[in-house]
Formats: sequence, C-alpha cells, structure tokens
Amino acid sequence: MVALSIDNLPASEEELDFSDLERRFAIPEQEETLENVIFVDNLPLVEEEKEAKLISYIMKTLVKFGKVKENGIHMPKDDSTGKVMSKGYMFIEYATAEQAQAAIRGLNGWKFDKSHILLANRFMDVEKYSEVDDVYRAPPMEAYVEREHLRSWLADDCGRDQFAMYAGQDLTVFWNEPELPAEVVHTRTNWTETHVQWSPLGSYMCTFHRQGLALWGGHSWKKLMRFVHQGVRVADFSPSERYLVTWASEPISLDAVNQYLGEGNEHQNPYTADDEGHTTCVWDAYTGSLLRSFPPIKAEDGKAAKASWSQFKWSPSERYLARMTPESSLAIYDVQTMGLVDKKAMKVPGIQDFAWCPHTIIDPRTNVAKPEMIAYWTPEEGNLPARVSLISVPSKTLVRTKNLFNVFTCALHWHPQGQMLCVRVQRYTKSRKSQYTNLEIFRTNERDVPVDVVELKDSAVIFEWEPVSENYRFAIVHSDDPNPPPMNASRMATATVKTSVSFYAFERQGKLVQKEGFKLLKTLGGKNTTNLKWSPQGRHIVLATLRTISACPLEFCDVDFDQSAAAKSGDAGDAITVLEAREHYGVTDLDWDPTGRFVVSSASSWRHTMENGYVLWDFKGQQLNKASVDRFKQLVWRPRPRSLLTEEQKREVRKNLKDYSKEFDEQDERKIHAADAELMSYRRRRISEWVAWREQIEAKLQAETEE
Amino acid sequence: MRPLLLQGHERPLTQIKYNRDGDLLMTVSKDKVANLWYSHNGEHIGCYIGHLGALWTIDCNKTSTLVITGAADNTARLWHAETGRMLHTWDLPTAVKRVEFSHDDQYVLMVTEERMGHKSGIYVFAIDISRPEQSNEPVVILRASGAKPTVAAWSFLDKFIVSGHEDGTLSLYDWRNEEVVQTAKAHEGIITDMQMWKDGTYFITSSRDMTARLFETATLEAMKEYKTDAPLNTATMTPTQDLVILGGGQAASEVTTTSSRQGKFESRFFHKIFEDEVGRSRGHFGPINTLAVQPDGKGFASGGEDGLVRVHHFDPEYFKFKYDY
Amino acid sequence: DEHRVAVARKVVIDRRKEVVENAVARRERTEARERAIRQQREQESERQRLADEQRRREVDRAQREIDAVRRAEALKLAESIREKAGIVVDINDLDMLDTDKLKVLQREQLEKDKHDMQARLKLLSRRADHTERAYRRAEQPLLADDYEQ
Repeated sequence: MVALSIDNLPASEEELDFSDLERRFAIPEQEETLENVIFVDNLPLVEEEKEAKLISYIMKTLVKFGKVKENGIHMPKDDSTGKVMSKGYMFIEYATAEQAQAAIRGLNGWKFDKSHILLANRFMDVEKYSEVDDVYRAPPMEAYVEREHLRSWLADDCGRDQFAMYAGQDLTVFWNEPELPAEVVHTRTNWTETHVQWSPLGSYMCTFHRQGLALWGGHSWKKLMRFVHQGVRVADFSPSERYLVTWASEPISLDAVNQYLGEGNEHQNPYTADDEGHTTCVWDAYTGSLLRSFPPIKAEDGKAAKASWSQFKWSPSERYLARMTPESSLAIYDVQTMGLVDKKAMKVPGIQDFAWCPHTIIDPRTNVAKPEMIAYWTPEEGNLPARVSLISVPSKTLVRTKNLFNVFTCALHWHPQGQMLCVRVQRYTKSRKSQYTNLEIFRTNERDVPVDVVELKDSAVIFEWEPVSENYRFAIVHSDDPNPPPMNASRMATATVKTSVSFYAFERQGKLVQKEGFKLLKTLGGKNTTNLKWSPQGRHIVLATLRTISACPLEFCDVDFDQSAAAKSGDAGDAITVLEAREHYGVTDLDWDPTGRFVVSSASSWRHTMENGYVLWDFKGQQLNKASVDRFKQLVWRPRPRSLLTEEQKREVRKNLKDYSKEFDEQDERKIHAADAELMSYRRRRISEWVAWREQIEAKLQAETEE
Repeated sequence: MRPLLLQGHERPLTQIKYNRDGDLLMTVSKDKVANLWYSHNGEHIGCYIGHLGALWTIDCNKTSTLVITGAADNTARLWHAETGRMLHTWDLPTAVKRVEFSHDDQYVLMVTEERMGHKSGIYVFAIDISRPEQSNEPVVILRASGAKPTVAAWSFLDKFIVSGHEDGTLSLYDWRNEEVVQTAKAHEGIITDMQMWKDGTYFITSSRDMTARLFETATLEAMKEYKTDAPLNTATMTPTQDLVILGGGQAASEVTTTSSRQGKFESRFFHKIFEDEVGRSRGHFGPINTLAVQPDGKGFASGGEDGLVRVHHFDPEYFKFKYDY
Repeated sequence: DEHRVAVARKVVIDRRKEVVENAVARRERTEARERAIRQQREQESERQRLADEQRRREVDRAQREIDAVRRAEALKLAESIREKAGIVVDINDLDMLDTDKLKVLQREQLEKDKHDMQARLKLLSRRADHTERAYRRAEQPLLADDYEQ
C-alpha cells in the first residue's frame, strides 16, 4: 500500500485502505499474542539500576488481574542523554486477552504515586501510531513528531480568518476576504455526511459520518484522528480541546463495529462488551483512545430518555465532566480517571438544568485558581420552593442558594468571564393567568454572593451577556407573549412577534450612584427581533430576526457609539446607537467572526430554498460580499485560541499602530490592484476570444452566402 | 421606465414575439386567442380568432404580412396579418408546439406533440405567398430517434434545422436530406426554449435544469453557460448589448408559499460573454414562460404564467452600461 | 265776447295749470324714483362694504390662524432639529425662516451628521482591523514556541 499522503487521501471512511494493517497482522502467532499485551504510560522515569525495583513494585499490582507471562514486561530505555533512563512506559504481556482487559480497567487512572497517574491501553490501540519493530520505539512520541503544526493558520500574513462552508456535497475551507471573494483553502466532495464543526480553539475540523467522526487540520488538511462511533450526531469538545464527548442516538453494538472494520481488524474496535448498548463516549482527542462510555439515561418507564445529550458538560479547566440525570442526580467525573469524584453522584431530587461557571477565576491575592463552580436549579415541589444552588467543585460544598416562588421555569446564563450568573426566572402572576420574568443576578465572585433582582413587566425571551465589558452589560429581547410563534415543517416562524430590546448595565456604588445594582440603559421598542448576537469583543451587537418567513431585518448597533451624548446627559443609554438597519431575505443564521470585525448572515437550505447563500457584513452593517450558493447549508467561522500577546505587548503594538497601518494599507491596495488587474485581463481575454470566433464565423457565413 | 402592462389574456402566456421591424408584438396564450399590439405604447391592434384549443406558438414573416399560429387543436393556421382574416388551416396529427418561418420566408417548420399513438415530428411546409391556400403536403417530416423534440429553429441560410429535445439533447438536421448530421447533450433537463441569433450562426437554449446555454449552430458546440437557481422556461439575447435575458421560476405547485420572491419569477440578465449575472427585473406573479427582445434592442417583453405581458423599454442608463475590461 | 275771452283764458289757464301740475307731478315722480334708486344703491354699497369688511376680517383671522399654525410648526421643527441634530435655531429668527427653509436646514444638518458618522465609523473600522492584524503580526514569532510546548 502506498503510504497516506496529501495526494491520495481517501475521500471517506469507507475508502480507507487497511490492507497494510491486515498484512502486518497476518502472522498468526503474533495476532494471538498481541491481544493480551497492554501498554502502560505515565510511569516515573527511572535509572537503569532502579528498573528492577520499579518492576517488582508494579508487579504486585499487575498480578491481581492475571498471570503476567515470563519475560512479559518490557520497559523501553533511552540513552540519548548519556545516561540510560526508562522512558516512562512499559508493555506487559498477560496470559490471556481477558486478563489484559481486566488489567487495563484496573490500571487506567491508578494513582501510582503523588505525581503519576497511570494510563493503560490495549497495545493494539497504541500500535496504530507506530511501526511494529524489533525494538519498540516510543509510539506516542512518534505520533507527536509526525503531526503537522496544527496552528499554522494563525500565521497568515494578511491576518485573515478562516471559515468552513458546507453546500451541496462539498465542504470547503476558505480564507475570508473583506474586499474580494473568499479564497479557497481546501475543498473536498463528501468530506462530511451531515454537518461540520470546529473544535473550540480551532485546531480541529470535525466531520460526521455514518461510522463515526474524524478530525482534520494542519496545513495539508490530513485526517488527524478518527473515532468509531456509529450514528454519531453530536460532538462536544472540552474547552482546551483535549477531550471530547460524542453522542449517538443508536446504541453501540460490538458486532456492528466489527462488521464495519472488517474481518481481521477487530483489534481496532475501541469497544469492549462493557460498552455494548451505550450511547455516549468520552475520548481523548489527542491519542484517540476511548476513556469511557455511558449508557443512555433511562426514563421511569425503562425506555431511553429522548435527549440524554445535553446532560454532559465540561468544566472550564476540563478537569471535570459533569452529567445530569434529570430530576434525580448530578454526577461529576474526574477526567484523569473517568471515575466519580468521591466515588458517588450527588443526589439532587428534581434537578432540571445545570451549568458550569465557564471561566476559571484566578484569586488575585494568592494567584491560585479558585475552585470551579456549578449552578443548578430545582422546581417547586409541594410546599418546597424552587431553588437555585451554587456548589463548589470538587468539594461539592454549597456556596449559595436562593429560594424562588411561583416559578414556571428557569434558565441559567453565566457571564462568559465567570463573575456573574443570571437566572432568568419565568414566573406566574398571582392569578396564574399570565407570566413575567425576573432576572436574579448572582455576583458569584463576591463575598456571600449578593443577588440583584431585575423585575420585568413582560417576559424576557432572550438573554445575552455582552462577552467583554467592564460593567457587565447585557441585552434582552422581551415581549408580552412568551410563546414562540407558529412554525412550518422546516421550523421557520410563519409569523412575527412584537418584541422590544433592552440593555442593562451594572452600576457600582459611588458618588453618583446611591443604589448599587443593574440599571436599564435603553429600550428599543416596536421590533420583531428574535436573536441577539454580540460581537465576541463586545460593544457591537446585531439585533436579528432569524428563521422568520415574513421578516428579515438586521440592525447593527454600537452600545458605546455616542459617548458625547451619554456624557452630556449622564445617561449611558444615550450612547446606544443603531448604526445601520439592513435586511437579508430568508436569513436563518448569523455569526460573528472570532475577532468582531465581520458578521456573516446566511440562508440555509436546511430551512428553505429561497436565495440560499451568505452575506458578509462589517461590524457597522456595510455589506462587503454577497454569495449565492446552490444548496448552501452551513458556514462556520474557525475559532481562534487566545492571543499569545501579553497586555504589555498589546499596548506596545497599539502604540506603533501607525507604522503597521501604513503597511496594511499598502498590502490591501496591492491585493485589490492585483485582483482588478487579473479580472480585467480575464475579461479582455474572453472578449477577444469571442470577437475572434465571431469574425471567423462571419467570414465563413459570407463565403457560404456567395456560393 | 415603468413597463407597459398588456392585459389581453386570461390564461398563461405561451409565446411572445416581435416582428422584424420591432413595431408589433404578437402574443399567444392558453386562452385560444392570439393578440397583436403596438410595441411602443401597448395599444391593442386586433386578434386572430379561430383556434379551438390553447395556443402554443406564433410567428410572422419578415415583411409582417403573414402570421402563423400553432395550437392544441392539432392545427396550424395562416392569417392575414393586417386584417386578421384566416387564410389557411393545416391539420396535423397532434398539437403544434412551435412554428417558425425560415429566414427566406419560403418555408415554415412546425414541431408537433407526441400523443395518442402519434410520434412527434418536425414538419416543414412550403409557403406560397401568391395565394391564400397552401399545400397540405409537407416537404419533409423529420422524426427524432430518441426523445421527442420540444423546440426547433432554422440555422444560418436555412441550411439546417436545430431541434431541442425533452431529454436535453440537441439535433442538427440537414433537413432537405432528412439526415441528422450532429447531436449533442446540451442539458440535464427538458429544453424549454431555443432562440437563434439573427444570422442563425449560434443560439441560446433554456432548460428546467436551471441553466441556459449558448451553442454554435454548425457544430452544436457549447460556448457559454448561465447558471441560475430556478427552472428556466425561456432565454433570449439582446442584439445591441452583450446580454442574455432568462426567465422561469418554480411552478406554483412546487413552492409552499406563493411569495413571488420565493418563486423566483424574475427576468435575469447575464453578461453573454462573461456569464455573470448583472441584474434582475421583478414584476410577474407567476413563472415567466416567454421572453422576447425588440430587434432594435430598445426593449424587451415578458409573458408569464400569471396571464400578464410586460413590455419594458430600456432606460438610457441601460445603454451606458458597460463592463470594464 | 269778453266772456268768451274769459272762458277761453280760463280754459287756457286751467290747461296751463294742468300742464304745470302734470309737469310737477312727473318731476316729483322722477325725483322720487331717482331718490329710491340712489337709496337702494347706497344701501347696496353699504351692504357690500359690510360684506367686504366681514370677508376681510375672516381672511385676516384665517391668516392669523395659519401664521400661528406655521409658527407652531416651525417651533416644533426647530425643537426637533435641536433635539435630533443638535443645532439651535433662534426662536426670534423664526419669522425669517419658513418651514421649507427649516426643512432644508434640517436635511443639510442630517446629511452632515450622517457624513460625519460615516467618517467616524470608517475610522473605527480601519482601526479595529489594523489593530487585530497588528496583534497577529506581533504574535507570529511566538506561535512556534507556543506550539512546541
């Protein structure tokens, strides 16, 4: 088999050629023996003299799971530093595959000592990344070296961002160009089967297939990893992309996976009998190994509950994964071991929803990360009030709780920077005839967690924190009618709802402010806004009416525009200005680029077939590009990791912005000039071709007429 | 300029055509009546009454003295253009979907429907302008070997007849020898319209496959393609600007709501050579079935499923419009 | 004879008397008619005058009303211009400015504001774009090291 390279990448999972693996495992004895070999990583590094001691120590544990074969332990060594040292991992050969399996379960996550938590895997899994050699080399290391620079796209000379577009059967990655048509980076037909997704920091593009999902990236858009999970529908990465949870509505079947992998490839099957029937998997995105799988949550009637998906959530540090069993419990897993924290789930009768505080907060005094937090709520039950609770993780101690009455439902909105939690409480009036909203805002980063209450006369249907701001601004869409409008079969609203949009901000006590709390800045009435989209940098927001057949306004606002007016009146709300009101016929989705410079509004054929495609706007509502794309489905911006620059360095850059500006202006001009010249010459070529053809055909006609 | 609205038809338009001088506009529709109008002001001149079925097609000779119509009543009829007097009736086995005078006005071709056990065909009759009665004996009948022809047109010097077929293929006939000299796959769907450049050396086709294409007549070689997002019923070329105009839209049965925007009932302008869309003109409430350009290039007319004819006279800016190159 | 003469004279006198009486009566009648006509004319002209007066008063009142409305409008407009555009129109100058002129003023002001806003936005947008690009340019050398880690 030809080695995989950029030029001969298989178009889909099915086309993957496994013949090399098949050949490699064709030797019968070896096939027999490899099933019972395990690979243990993360051992302490020891000098040669201490090797025997380490082995005899670990042996005590190894024998608990079965019989280790004679000479069945192999610990690779490295003498590159001049001193012979172990490399921190070993291979252990058990008598049987079952014993090996048991050992993996027992050893994986075992806390060997204070700083070493062992990782145990089937040798088969590890083998995927390395050549079988007489001398075992370090497979994970090699896999690492082979990897391309996954963040090379950040170094674009023009500072552009990428997006992926899925239309028809084609998935294409583009460079966004504000002045010119987007530039194709890479495109393939049938690259994904359902949709496309980026990992949270943009390193991986994730494609979904009948048999599982695949991660792509690097300069050559190679397949970096695949996860066999049949019928996979959803993937949720941990915040730093190390892990991911996948979910399929259909249960895992060992036989079906083996059938797909083909005879002789059973060793590639990540699942064991224990995973049979499960629907959720937790993977290590980096090594591709399955960390654990979970069965679907059973409803009371014993059947699988409909959506067991959104009940898994990563903590911001990605050290914990929490899972809710609606109305009964909250389980918090330590990702290192995939075991339950304190070995048991928390009983929370009635629990409806929970949310991690999305940001790890560093204590400024100690410079140490504060414990992570989870908020959850439980509804009214008999005489007991509804309740919002905040707990600290991993201690599970209660940080704050608040009782609420006449509650219809609650929604939890953490501020992205993690210092505030807004609980949007939908309440009944005393007569129970109508509803209204209370916003209970917990200042979670302050002592005793004070709660501010914003009482509305009507119902807030949308709540969005401004992602970055000093005074915790937020915007809401509110309306007399909290019910969503009627929808057609493809979930487009067939009527508009009269709504208003209001902005609030937090005011600290000061000379001018007597009562600390949230204050209404401004209300814009007479709208039919359905969605609020803040720029990731804050300040700019688009009020949009999406997925509505009869209306499609997009209003581009700047909440800090008219600062002089605000200063004059002393009312911060006066700075809020609608910069531009636009329309995009048939708009279904709207997304900001990761930097808040551009917005893309799009009309997806998943919803309708009216003028499918997208429009690129700048933050002030000027249309930059419009593309009609046949059977356009989806456009997703590639996220970016946090800038590596310190605040200091950024200040320095801003100080020298003039120099940069000069260069960028020149760069832009050159580019547009080149594109213009290219277009002109292209047109001239086509015109002259046409004219030449006409001259020739007219001469011929003349000759024939004279005949 | 605001278009003129000709409200002389009650049913969907099937074809509209200007005479060679461009002062007259002929329109036919499923309501069995053919109408004649002054193109500059939309004044109704008269109608040709006599057909017993939906009218599909109309043409007149270069001197604008004779008019031929084809209809679903299995006849084609010859009319005195000015008085509206019926001069002759050809009886054909099935409906007549398309008629066209040859460039020298000596012949007329008629494309017939495939129905009731009758194969479709392209009939060519000789025209004798010295007397009203015409021969009922066709000069030739061209039969397609594959899918039925839907449209046909005369080539340069009337040497060939080109036909467009239901399966998207084109055939080039040496019609006098009843011989197919060339075939080509032009579209993925039914060919709905075919209009020749004035000298017959190339032509434009439209199809339900949402594209229109330009072909060289002598070779049937595809030269240009215009892609849209709507099934097309008609395509025409402007004589003075390098533009083509396309019309079509989703039939009412194919769309869930009847918003005209969703139905894509717009005339679309493309640059003939660069193949880019340059503009659209709205106004119809149903799919556009037929388009024609005034021979002097000063305007165009569209006929819709909504029974309306819209006659547009181009604004002065239109003539200034020019691509940079 | 004398009697005849006397009788004749009497007849003549009577006749003369009669003629004179007739003439007087005719003159009186004529005079009366003329007087009547004159009076009628005078009355008519008086009525006309009154009507004219009345009409003039009405017109004046209407004019006053129109002026008042116009002034109120102008005031309102001035107020709105002041609110929206931030320019101050001197209320005392209002008589000099009719609403059309005010509207032109307003339009000009709004256009100017829009132009200013566009210019400001353009500046903002250029700065945002260049800042982001400059950050990325400065970050570039750090990427490789960061990735190594």
